[in-house]
Amino acid sequence: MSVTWQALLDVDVGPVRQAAPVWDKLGAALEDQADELAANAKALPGVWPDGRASEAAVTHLNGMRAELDNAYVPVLTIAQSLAEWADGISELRGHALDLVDDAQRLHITIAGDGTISMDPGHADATTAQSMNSIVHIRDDILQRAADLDARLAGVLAANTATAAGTPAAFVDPKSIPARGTDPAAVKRWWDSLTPEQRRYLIMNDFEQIGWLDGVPAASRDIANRLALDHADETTRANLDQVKDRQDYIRSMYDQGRIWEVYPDAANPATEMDTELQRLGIEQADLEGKTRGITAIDKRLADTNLPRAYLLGLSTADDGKAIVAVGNPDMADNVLTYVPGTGADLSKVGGDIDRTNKMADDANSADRSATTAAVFWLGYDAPDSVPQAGQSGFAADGGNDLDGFQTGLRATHDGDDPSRNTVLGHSYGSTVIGHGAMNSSINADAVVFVGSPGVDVNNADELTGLDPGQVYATRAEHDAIARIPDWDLIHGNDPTRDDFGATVFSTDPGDPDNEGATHSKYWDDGNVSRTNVAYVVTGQTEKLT
Amino acid sequence: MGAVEVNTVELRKLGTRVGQLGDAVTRTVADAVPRLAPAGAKGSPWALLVQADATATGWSEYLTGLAKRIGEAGQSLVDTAGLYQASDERAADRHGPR
Amino acid sequence: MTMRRTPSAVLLIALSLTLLGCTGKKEDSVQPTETQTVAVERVDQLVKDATAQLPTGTTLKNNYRSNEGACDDPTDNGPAGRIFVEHRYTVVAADNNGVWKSDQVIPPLAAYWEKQGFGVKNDSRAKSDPRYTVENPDGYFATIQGYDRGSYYDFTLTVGSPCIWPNGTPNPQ
Repeated sequence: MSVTWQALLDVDVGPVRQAAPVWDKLGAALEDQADELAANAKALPGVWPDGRASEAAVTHLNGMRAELDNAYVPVLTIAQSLAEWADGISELRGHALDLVDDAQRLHITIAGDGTISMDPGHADATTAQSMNSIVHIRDDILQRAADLDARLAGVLAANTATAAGTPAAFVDPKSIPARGTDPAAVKRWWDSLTPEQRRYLIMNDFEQIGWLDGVPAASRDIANRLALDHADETTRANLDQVKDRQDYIRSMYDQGRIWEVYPDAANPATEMDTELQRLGIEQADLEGKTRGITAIDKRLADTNLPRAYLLGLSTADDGKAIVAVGNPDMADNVLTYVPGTGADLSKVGGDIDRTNKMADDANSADRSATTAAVFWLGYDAPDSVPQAGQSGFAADGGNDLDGFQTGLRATHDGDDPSRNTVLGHSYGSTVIGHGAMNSSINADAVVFVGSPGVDVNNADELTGLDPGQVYATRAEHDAIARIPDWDLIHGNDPTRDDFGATVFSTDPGDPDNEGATHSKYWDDGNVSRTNVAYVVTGQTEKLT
Repeated sequence: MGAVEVNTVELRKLGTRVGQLGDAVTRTVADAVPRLAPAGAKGSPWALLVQADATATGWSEYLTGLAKRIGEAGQSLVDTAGLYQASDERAADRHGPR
Repeated sequence: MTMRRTPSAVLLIALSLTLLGCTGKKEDSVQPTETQTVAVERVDQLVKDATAQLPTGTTLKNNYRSNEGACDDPTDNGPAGRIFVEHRYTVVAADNNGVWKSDQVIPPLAAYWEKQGFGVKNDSRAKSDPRYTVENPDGYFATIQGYDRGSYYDFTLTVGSPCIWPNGTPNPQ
């Protein structure tokens, strides 16, 4: 049975789309149950200490735990594939419907079964020529539908369990390319592995695989979902520990026994204050990270928005996260959004919200193409404005961003490259500037929004780009404009004429609240949102 | 023999927990199974839908079997606890009260 | 040539002071606002009212319902924790496969909002992709964005709230 025009017009992707989250939840539940079984296996020797029978029981439990664990990757792969099929077939169906309309205007009718004919009274040479094109497009649409259908059916088949489970083949972790390896080389390495080997790596080495530029987005996503789960457990456990310690100290103090807590201290009360202060800071930090993890969890589970792919997660230092709305490997346009000063894992919810909106803006601005938007906090952002005065953060961040963008090119599906735009807000633009200084930043356009300067004085100095690829905007009342002696800290304002960027409009903002204007670029109705969408979708002739 | 070191009470509890975990996996699977295969898969012209049906069946069978094995492992631990306890009691009877 | 001169302490202090809003201008004062629940209701109501003005049979398809957009930016140094609500819909025509042969969306809405006393924030109806943004006296925004697809138009309707505290009262700072 092959895919017919009728089948494409009649298809209802709803049931497939609704099945995807069922697999997601199944995978997550099995993961949790694996952890529970692991806990029991660990406890067993404590209650049944010796003998071969006891050891055999532990091995057996651990084996079944591994089976539960090993279910995660294939089950999530199935969920992803179902979502991808629903989106892809839905898009192709849209193309088919558009073709019927377009044909009608050219006096050509496409029947329900796909047969194409010229309308009576219009059987002439011009119409015949149009008909040839229409036939060609119809066939192309059907071929793409059939190819997508077959490919994803194949993925499902490769991830179907049998009585023995789904096999995973051992890979020596030392053979994993180091972080920072050329993404094209990483992609070649990944392609050389069997599906079983890839499953194994995602499962057992998720922290490395999750951050490796050159590994396809779908695989990074599954690895990072495991990392997320792990980070959640660890952060909560640490938080409990911190709270318990605080409770213990206070309780001892209340009992007049604080000297027992600090037996060597000259002044136990001072020691106590110092430790409580430190614990308070730690608690706030861990609570912030928990907030961030929860926000990411929530977005991954949100079935009302395009499927999200987690391309990076770390809870070290201030935390890092890379969250893609839509799969960048499959999209026609990819927007990378780099946030500015103060960005960290605890605030990721607000940035994911902006990324959702920018994805929708672009997908609305051009319905004939798909856009994925990626929130990239893959660098250690400065905590504060004064700290942002140092360029060290941007230099390191620029390198990491370059690697990420090159990775996007390496893993993009098909022969046609996507249109990649990188947008930096505030200090994020400075990071992009650094990324564009010495090498190809592998972007087709960069956008500086509310920039304090990008550490060069002219677009010409961004040697990785043509000046024509550089866009900038700043609201009239953005407080960032008030940095005195602008060019001594981060170079000239990129919205100045002599910088050489294409400047587009943004609503002026509120003269009485310039600090708040710094974030108003994402407000509903701000013309900057539409303008950004035009840059992302390559409709720069429409910029205002 | 190390039989006297076996904490039969805790072992029984652990076995029970593992058994309950087996039940939990069974429930998880039973809950998901009706919704794993998209509706309309049978007789569909789409290869993915046909495959999704087979994939759902494969996973359902596999996981149901795994859940059963986990449950049985739990029961086996409970039984073992019972055996050790019985053995302890017999030993206590033989030696009489001290 | 890249800018790597270390900024002087004076410049850094001046920089941080300006971004702290200490320039003598009024900043967002720490005032109570409507709660998130109320703001969501009001946005929903504005959407409903707008839809009622459109041709019979017009329906809305939801693009997103964001109920917790971040109003503050890490650097704006205003009071932290404010959020805003923003919902977007695609305006689906009753016929024509849901798309619009002509602009039958902006005119009735512009007329209605004018009657309601909403201020016009942006009038870009003459652009190839027409846009029209209004703001009501309480700071709620509505935007109609049209897209010229060549042989037809698409429209989205986006309605948003002003910055609010989730519980109506300022978060402890």
